[in-house]
Parts: sequence; structure tokens; C-alpha cells
Amino acid sequence: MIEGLFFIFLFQLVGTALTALFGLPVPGPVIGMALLLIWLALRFKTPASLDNLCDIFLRYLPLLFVPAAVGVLNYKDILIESGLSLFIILILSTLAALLAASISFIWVARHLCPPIGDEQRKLEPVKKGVE
Amino acid sequence: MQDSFTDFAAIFVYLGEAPLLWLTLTLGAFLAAERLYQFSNRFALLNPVLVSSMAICIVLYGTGTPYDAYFRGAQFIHFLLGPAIIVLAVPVWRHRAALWRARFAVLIALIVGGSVAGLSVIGLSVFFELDLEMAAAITPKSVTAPVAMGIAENLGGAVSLAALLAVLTGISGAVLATPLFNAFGFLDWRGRGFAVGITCHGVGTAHAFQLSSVAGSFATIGMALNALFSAVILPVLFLLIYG
Repeated sequence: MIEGLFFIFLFQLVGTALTALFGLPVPGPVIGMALLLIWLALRFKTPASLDNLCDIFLRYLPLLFVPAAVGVLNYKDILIESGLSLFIILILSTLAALLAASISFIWVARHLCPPIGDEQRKLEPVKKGVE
Repeated sequence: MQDSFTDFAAIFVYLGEAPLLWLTLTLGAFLAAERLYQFSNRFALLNPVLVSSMAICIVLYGTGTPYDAYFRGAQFIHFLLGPAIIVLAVPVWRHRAALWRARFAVLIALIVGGSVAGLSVIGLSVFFELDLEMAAAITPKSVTAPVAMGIAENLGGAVSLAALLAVLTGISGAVLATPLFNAFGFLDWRGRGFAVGITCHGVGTAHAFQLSSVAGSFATIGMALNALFSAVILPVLFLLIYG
């Protein structure tokens, strides 16, 4: 686990350093992710320590956004004043973008690369006889 | 009675200053919210991030605790966001063949989805007559928070408000996406995941990983590509419409 953490922190550190050094418009962790991807491609195998840690991170990824979301507390005045219009804009635009992206993806994919295996959602069988 | 109350208050004030209380509360609230979510058979509105952050807000508001005091404890969780982004390289690598096979669909959906996200939010801001500062803060809402802050700053918006609106967009997408896609009968995990990544970046990606690792990997790619795509097109669109 410590070895996995070491790799992760190292790539974040290098990514952050490169961003600061060259004044890149992309955040350090994103550069770090790209570097890790390149490293994995060169090595062609993910170290076991990284593989295990990855699954823990993915399992609890939503938790990491909670402290930022609580930041809403700092803006209660603005949100009371114009929260309703912000809320409507946010919901409508999110729905429009979700539909536009998914429909265009699925339309292109149907012609060029139909889903195979676990790329297709399995519908749970409908339980019969249970009212 | 009076004495025991002041004792309790003194203990609370003491603990409230230390990071451990708010760190524990955050973990506890999230675990409880996840239980509730599972118990409700994954009812979309009971999204764990939404429920736990609202519960914490109520506790902080009720006890008169400022966000800064809370964040002294919660920062240890917040810090892990950076490492979590690094780790996303692993699932992307695992699903590299699937991603490469779907490259044309990815490219088209990025252009269509990224453009609709930008145009719709700017158009609606004009319609609702938001002032320039507010519009600049909400425009990069579909971009991952650190990049959204940079874009908002360039457009002349409040940086921390932009980060908050980006996270709230992520939560709204995590709530809306699954019922929406199910209603339309979309079965392709790649398209579902990619759309969520483009629109709802980190929180959406986190949600996608809970459903399918294919969806999560496509969401990761969507989030990363849209950060680049939006950083280029949003300033142009914003100037065209608001300039």
C-alpha cells in the first residue's frame, strides 16, 4: 500500500512541478495522470500495489467531493438572492449536455463500434410472481 | 443541569477547534448516507454526496461553525482528490482497447457534448439576465473544478464560486444521469459514462465507477478531454455572446 501511495504522490508531485515550471493551463494532477498513463504504457503492466490502491480509491471516490460541496455554506447569501435562477440554469444545461453527449456517442457507436461484452448494460431479469 | 450543559458546551468548543471532530463527522455522514442510498434501492435523489454534504451543512449551521473551522478537519479528505485523479490512469489503462475502439464516437461526443454544455449555460445566463461576474462563474460548470477556476478567472468571475458551481453541477448530474438514461433506454455503458464525464466531471465520474468500470473509464476520458476542449472554446463562446 505504501509503495502504491509513493507512486501516486510522486506522479502528482512531478505533475504539479511541471505545471508550475511551465505555467501550464492544466492542473498538476491531470499532468500527473497523463505521466502515469505513459509510464504504465511503457511498463505494460500495472504494479500490484497500484492496482489494489486504485480499487479502494474508486470505491470511495464520491466521498472526496463532500468537503468541497459543504462549501455551499460560504455562499448562502448569494444563493438566497439568485439561487433559483442558478439552480434552473444548472439543471437545464446539465440535462441538455447529458443528452447531447450520450445521443451523439451512441449514434456514432451504433454505426462504427457497437458495444460488446460488459460495454452493454445487462437489464436485471424482471421478478415474476412477486407482487 | 446548567453545569453539565456548560461542560458539554466547553467540550464541544474544544473538540470543534480540533480537526478530528469534523473529519469523523464527514466520514460518518458519508457512511450513513451510503447506507440510506442502498436501503432506498439507489433512489437518485438520495445520492450519498448530496445527502451527506447537506447533513453536514445543517450541523455546521446549527452549531454556528464557520466553514473554515470545518475545513481544518475535512482538508485531509479534500487533499486526496489530487491523488485520486492520478489513480484514474489505472482504469483508463485497463480499458485502453475499448477506448481506442470507440475513438470516433468519443471525438464526436466530445465536440457535440462540450459545445452544448457551453452554449446552453451561456444562453441560459443571458435569458436569466445574470450579471457578468455571475455568468463568468457558472460558464465553466461542466469542467473539473481546478480547471473551472482558471477559466472563470480569465472570464472575470469569482474563482471559489466557480469551483462550488462545478461541484454542484457534478452532484446534479450524478442525481439526474441514471434516471435520464434509463428513461431513454440507453444500454451502452460507454456512451452513458462518457456523457457523464463530459457534463459532470469528477462527481459524475465517481458515480459512474459505482455502476460500471467501463462507464467510469469512459467518464474519466470525458472529464479529461472536456477540460482541454472547454478551456479553448468557452472563452470564445463567452466573448461572442457576452462581449
